[in-house]
Amino acid sequence: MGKEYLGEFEELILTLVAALQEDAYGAAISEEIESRLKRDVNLSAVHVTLYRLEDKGLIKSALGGGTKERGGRRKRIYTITSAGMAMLRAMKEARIDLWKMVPQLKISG
Amino acid sequence: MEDGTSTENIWMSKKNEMSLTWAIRLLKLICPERLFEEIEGDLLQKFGTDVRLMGERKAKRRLVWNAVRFIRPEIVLRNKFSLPLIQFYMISNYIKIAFRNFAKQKSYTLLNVIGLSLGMAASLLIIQYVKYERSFDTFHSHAKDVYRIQYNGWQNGKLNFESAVAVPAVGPALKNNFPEVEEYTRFLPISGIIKYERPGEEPISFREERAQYADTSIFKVFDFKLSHGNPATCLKGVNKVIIAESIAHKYFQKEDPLGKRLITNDDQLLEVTGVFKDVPENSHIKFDFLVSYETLNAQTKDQSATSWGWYDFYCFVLLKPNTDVPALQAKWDKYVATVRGEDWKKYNQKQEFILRPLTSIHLYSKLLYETSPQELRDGDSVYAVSIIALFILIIAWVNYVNLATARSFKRANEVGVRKVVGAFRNQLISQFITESFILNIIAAVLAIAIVRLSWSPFSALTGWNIPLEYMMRKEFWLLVMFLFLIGALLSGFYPAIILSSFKPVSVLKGKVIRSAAGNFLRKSLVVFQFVASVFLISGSLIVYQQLNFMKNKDLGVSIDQTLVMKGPQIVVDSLYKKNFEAFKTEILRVPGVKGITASSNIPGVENYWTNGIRRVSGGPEGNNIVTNIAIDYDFIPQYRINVIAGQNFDRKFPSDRRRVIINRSLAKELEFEEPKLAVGEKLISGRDTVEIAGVIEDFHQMSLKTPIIPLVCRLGTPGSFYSIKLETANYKNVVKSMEDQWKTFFPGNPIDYFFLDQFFNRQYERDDRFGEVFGLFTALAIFIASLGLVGLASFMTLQRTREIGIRKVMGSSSSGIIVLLSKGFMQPVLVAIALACPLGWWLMGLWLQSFPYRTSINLWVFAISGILVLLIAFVSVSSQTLKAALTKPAETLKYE
Repeated sequence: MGKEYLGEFEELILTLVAALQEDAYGAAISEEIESRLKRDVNLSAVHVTLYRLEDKGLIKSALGGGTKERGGRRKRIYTITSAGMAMLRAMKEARIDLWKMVPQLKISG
Repeated sequence: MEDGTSTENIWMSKKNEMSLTWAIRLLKLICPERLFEEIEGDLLQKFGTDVRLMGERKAKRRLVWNAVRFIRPEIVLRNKFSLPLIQFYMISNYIKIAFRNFAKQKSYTLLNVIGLSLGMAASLLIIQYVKYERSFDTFHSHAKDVYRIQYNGWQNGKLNFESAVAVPAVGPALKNNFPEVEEYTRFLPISGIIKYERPGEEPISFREERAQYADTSIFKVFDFKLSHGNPATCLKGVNKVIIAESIAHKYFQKEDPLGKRLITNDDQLLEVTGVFKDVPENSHIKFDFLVSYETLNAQTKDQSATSWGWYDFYCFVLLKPNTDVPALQAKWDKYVATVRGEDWKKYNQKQEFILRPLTSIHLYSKLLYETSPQELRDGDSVYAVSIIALFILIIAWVNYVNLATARSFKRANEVGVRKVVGAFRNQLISQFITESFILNIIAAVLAIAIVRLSWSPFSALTGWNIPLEYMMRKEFWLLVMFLFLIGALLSGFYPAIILSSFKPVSVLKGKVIRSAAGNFLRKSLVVFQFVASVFLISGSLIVYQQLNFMKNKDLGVSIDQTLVMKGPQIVVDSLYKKNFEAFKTEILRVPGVKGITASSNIPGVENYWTNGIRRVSGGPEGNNIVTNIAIDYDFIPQYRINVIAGQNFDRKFPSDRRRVIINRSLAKELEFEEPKLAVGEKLISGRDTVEIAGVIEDFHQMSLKTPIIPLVCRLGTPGSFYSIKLETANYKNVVKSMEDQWKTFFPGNPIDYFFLDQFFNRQYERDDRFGEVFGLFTALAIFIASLGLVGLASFMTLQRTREIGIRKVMGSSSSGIIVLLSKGFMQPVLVAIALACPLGWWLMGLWLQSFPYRTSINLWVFAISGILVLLIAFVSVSSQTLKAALTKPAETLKYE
């Protein structure tokens, strides 16, 4: 998967899957994005991205329990794979490397 | 689920209405089942949050929107192809392999593509043609409920004629007495010269052949469209006329035609009260002028409204939808019998008026006095050509099957390797079907190009005016798709089954697979192809023979070297007679003119002048229906009609005005034992009593497709046709001086002339065309069949290259090898000839039955077609085998 690149939205979702752990499923992720980032997302976009990440092997999924608030429908809980983790880390490091090249940062830092 | 189940029911009942929102239900239909549960759950959870944040109404809207947003390809199509995915990727491989194969075996591909595309193009063209012919009269919105009244006349208990024209009384009688009949309308055809005098200008006049008297109700029964004028009133009143748009332009150019006056040749003024859109090409009845029926009634003292005897009228009735026609016919027959019974008894006659569906006229009606008999088609031959087209298509498909299976062992290694690597049989089948799809797509594209390019030359050759817009129609493209799919599946399936059945072990060991069954099938397919070819060749020969027979048979009347002028449309009176005599003298003076004669009719023009005649004493009871012709003294000698008893009219006997000449058929029908016994006998014709002056030999008034009808010739100076017999090939001078004389004697009358033999033979135009089409498709079929044979032969020869080499080394001669190689191919061809001959004999015999005068089928026709096919097959095969036979064995043995 070394040659795979992630889009901004994909990276965001992947990060959230890693962060939310047990609670990483479609509706929760979209709520998290809305509340934390104040960003309006469509549920279907979240789902499609999750499926795509799963296709790429960065996350895996299993069906979890249903709750009252979702009419007893089961959730699909996502967990990040080691490939996903590696990808996240690689991206973070690459970003930091790039940040270091920005001159203003040097002055203020 | 554990804690969900308990609360689920409560939740469901509470939010039942909401949870079943249409958007979710729709999503459930198209979303993969595996994904639906969690998506629905997420949607509901989101809905719950939304309700808290922004209230139920807005949340509901958002729910719908969110659900709808899930309908996107990433969701809907997800995992649909999880298993087929492999096949999906394989297809690109199949396509690649297919093109490699095509490129490797260019000649086979070419043979196949040419055959398939020609076959498809031929059937596309023909199916469009059949469609067009079937479209006749269907553009009327009530077409299915419109019937024409056919008139069958019975005389002395035997059927005398079946005519398309009936008596005018049937229309009102049907409408007034039978509730099933909604409306009737009648036509009476007329023709003549129409003049328009624009104030201050030279009058313009044209001879118009397509005019009808018509009832006002025409627009209720038919859908002819008026572009100016009121359909309810434009044909009301005396001396009203409505005209076609093209006619309006011809006479009035840009002037407003409404209210203008046209002058007929008997100086009647007709007021233009409407303009209609030109009658569509696919209407069996065609007209440019419609004159109000009341005009006719005024002229005939209402005979044209009420007569039960005058049959010149095309009568149409519009029935209520879903009328039981046979029941109506039965009731109507009874009614006619009670109304007409007395008259029938008096003349020993019977009349039948039969309802015939409008839409079947064009293809199936072959009655006397059809409106435009030249344009009617024979439904059976229309379908016959479509069967020929199907043959061609099947021959092309057979080529594909044969070539594909024959060279199957070349692909055997590929199949073996694929199977070893793990291909399923289904996958192999789909691979080979993909190949046939690709080939068929290429052929279909080519076929469309061929159809487009050959559309107008084809129309010109066949005389079929299929409108080009047929190609733009959806049906056309559906048909293309259909032919393509059927072709791809039919021709692809068998080879695919064969190829995919190879066992990898034996194939990879190098065992050549040759199944006897496959060989047999291939041979039978070749037999089929050549049965079709032999049948088509013998068929077209017989069609050609029959046409020749009809054209060359002695008509009993001499129509060559004859120029016919249509007479001036003026009233025949004593002034005209003097004028004509003077004109005749002048014309006779023109060098190159042998004679001139005037008559009311000429051969090739259908004779509508009929009446009843009977003998004063003896003969059959009641009236005999006969046709009449008025002629002058010179008609019979100039047309070289044989007088078999009595004599021609003679200027020396003024009493000849009361005498008639009859033809042999009439003499027989009047029960004279010998023609000469008829001479001097008296006949009652209408109110007159006439004496028979002579009997002439039967001659053909119309083409040989119609039988000879009893005829009475009366003496007169008729003004309809002047026949001029020429004795020079240089007719240009004659025409020039003829025109000059015409202008002096009949000023203001348009001149109109034609050569009688050409005019007469125009009746065979349709048959000529049929012959040409038959010939064309025969050639096409044979061409495609021999393409297949060439392919097969070249392949088989290639397979036996080594065998040929060894045979030559052992001392076999080249000719011996050709015989050896060709034998396998000639066998099926010989079988085909043996099968096709009886088939052709039988089918073409049926076709010939439809002609009253027909040639007999000669055996040599089959001999010729057999030999021809054998020759073509031999040439195609030996084009390949010869090459092999002449190659030096040293080279062939190096092969492989």
